[in-house]
Amino acid sequence: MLIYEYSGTLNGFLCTVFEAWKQREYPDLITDSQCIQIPLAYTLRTVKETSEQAFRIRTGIGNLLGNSGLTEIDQGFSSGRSDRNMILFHWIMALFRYGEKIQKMFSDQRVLDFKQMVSAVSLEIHRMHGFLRFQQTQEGLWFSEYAPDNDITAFLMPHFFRRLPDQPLLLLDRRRNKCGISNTREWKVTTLPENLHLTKTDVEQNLQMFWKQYYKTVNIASRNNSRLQANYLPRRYRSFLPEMEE
Amino acid sequence: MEQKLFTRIFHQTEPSLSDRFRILTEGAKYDVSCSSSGSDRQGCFAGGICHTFTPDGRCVSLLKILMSNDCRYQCRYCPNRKDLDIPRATLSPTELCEITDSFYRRNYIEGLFLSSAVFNTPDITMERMLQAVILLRKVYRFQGYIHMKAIPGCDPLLIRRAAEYADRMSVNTELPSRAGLQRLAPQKKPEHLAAPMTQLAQIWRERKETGQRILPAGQTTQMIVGATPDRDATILALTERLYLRYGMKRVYYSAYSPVGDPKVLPTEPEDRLRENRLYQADWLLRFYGFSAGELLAPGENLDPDLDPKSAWALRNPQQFPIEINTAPYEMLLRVPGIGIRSAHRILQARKETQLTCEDLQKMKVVLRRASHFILCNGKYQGCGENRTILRSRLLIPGARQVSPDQYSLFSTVQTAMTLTGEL
Repeated sequence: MLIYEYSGTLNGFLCTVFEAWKQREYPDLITDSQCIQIPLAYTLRTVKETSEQAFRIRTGIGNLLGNSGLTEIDQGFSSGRSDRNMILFHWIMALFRYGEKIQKMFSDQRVLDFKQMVSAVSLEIHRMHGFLRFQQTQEGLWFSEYAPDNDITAFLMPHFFRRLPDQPLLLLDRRRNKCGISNTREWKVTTLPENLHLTKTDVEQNLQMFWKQYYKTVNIASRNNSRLQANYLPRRYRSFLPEMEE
Repeated sequence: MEQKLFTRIFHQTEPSLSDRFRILTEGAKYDVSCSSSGSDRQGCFAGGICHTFTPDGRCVSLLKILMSNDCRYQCRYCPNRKDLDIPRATLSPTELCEITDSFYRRNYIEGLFLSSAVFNTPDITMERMLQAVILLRKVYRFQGYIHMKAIPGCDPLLIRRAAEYADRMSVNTELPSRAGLQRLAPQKKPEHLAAPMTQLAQIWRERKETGQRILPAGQTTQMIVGATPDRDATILALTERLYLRYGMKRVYYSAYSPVGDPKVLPTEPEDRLRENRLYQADWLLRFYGFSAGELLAPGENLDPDLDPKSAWALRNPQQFPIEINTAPYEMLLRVPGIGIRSAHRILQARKETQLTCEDLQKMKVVLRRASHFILCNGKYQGCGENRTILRSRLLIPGARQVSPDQYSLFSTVQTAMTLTGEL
């Protein structure tokens, strides 16, 4: 069994693709973690990250599929699936082999897996555009927390940065302890700052009450259809929504 | 001292903002359109974002609210009609702006859906709504989406000005037929409803010609289904006319809820399945190249057990089967189980290879329905032309076992969302 190990960044991952292409071999597993269960017989290759190799792979993808292809790679890499690396790897290999024609090979398993993974990520991005809630804090920040399946904070920040242009934002991914911050002039994604203390404003309490009341009133109780509701608003997303509190 | 006492009494008699907000939400909740898409206004990032879903399965995208529910009209189907003994309330433009802006900043909503009962005169009502919307855009610098009702009978200049601030406007068609309107809303004449629609259509045309930024998301309309004995054929024919004549972006249907006058109206809610079937048919009109006449003959209703496309295909066996590798796009669209996306995929993929049944499955074609109407490389895998058997195969399994209210609209709405970016 052949295992590739890389640094954990997207560039590092692209270097493993470069390496495999150069060595003409297909790894069975690409991993960034030290604590995987090591099979009995294996070869481990640690791939060093160089920006030049990653750049060449990126250019290759960009030439074939343009910017939208690169966005798909970015989104795919932020997937929370455990088989993410192999799906991406097979897709990129197939892309280099078949060229842009791959976009039309809808019945190819590698294509299907990849497209499915990317659309799960973009669906979650789309949903979070709606499901995030911001609260005003006494510190002057607009704070929001969530726990997405995929690592999508970097994809959400541009949207909210433009949408709420005069509000300094703090978007916290509870699952990954990562956060997106903006000071209204620029935004970035960083790790969670230590000893962060935020206090809700009084207005906030009041507004949440108004919102909950609105949510309750606008429902047509005689037409309850919680199965349909759960299709659109999965239960795992509900814990951060004020209107879902009893 | 006296002054203070007066203030206190005044505040006691006047319902609190929270109460009025609740009353005015209650009055607006049967409005159907909540979509926030189709706008290309600068600074507008909205596009079919749903912020939450209520237990009835409906999406909350816009803050749906009435400016006032203090109505002078006596429309028998309406929960705000004049003779009804319900609490009445009105919001001031500032109050409305404060709530809207605060909700928007917290990402609760995409924007505002502003409607109103007609208090005093149509002009005064529309003026007040316009005031609120101007305040919102100019003082609050609100960038969200605004959908505004045009009040029939108001001065065209007010509508014209509103169109400069709103993304989308709509006039209610109310009921599918003139007779229904006469019986249930005698104060409203079809001509009065048509006038603002015509004006909005004119504004939309002008916009296209001159490129000015006005009413970027066009106009829509809605009608109540099930309050009158009108058949689906009438409703679809009307829908088609509305699209053609007024360039409507959408026509919305609202299954009647028993909130009207029980003396002249049904006391049971209309089956939501009917609403669903109408939307499916509406979809066929807008994106699949069907005409209303093809789907239903005059006086007919849509089949509750079959989706309208399957029903059509069943009645037109002479058109099938078609060869998936050669059939034109327009025909692919007419096959039950093939949607716009899968039709596009087929077009793309068959350039590279001869498609087989398995390929179609991977392209998300619903073979359970499609296989009876297609050939893959000359091969037929359907159940033949026997109508009874065919019909039983096309039925949606389990659809009749659950109560109509639980019927999941998921597949259609989901397709809709992905296809058109939530038109």
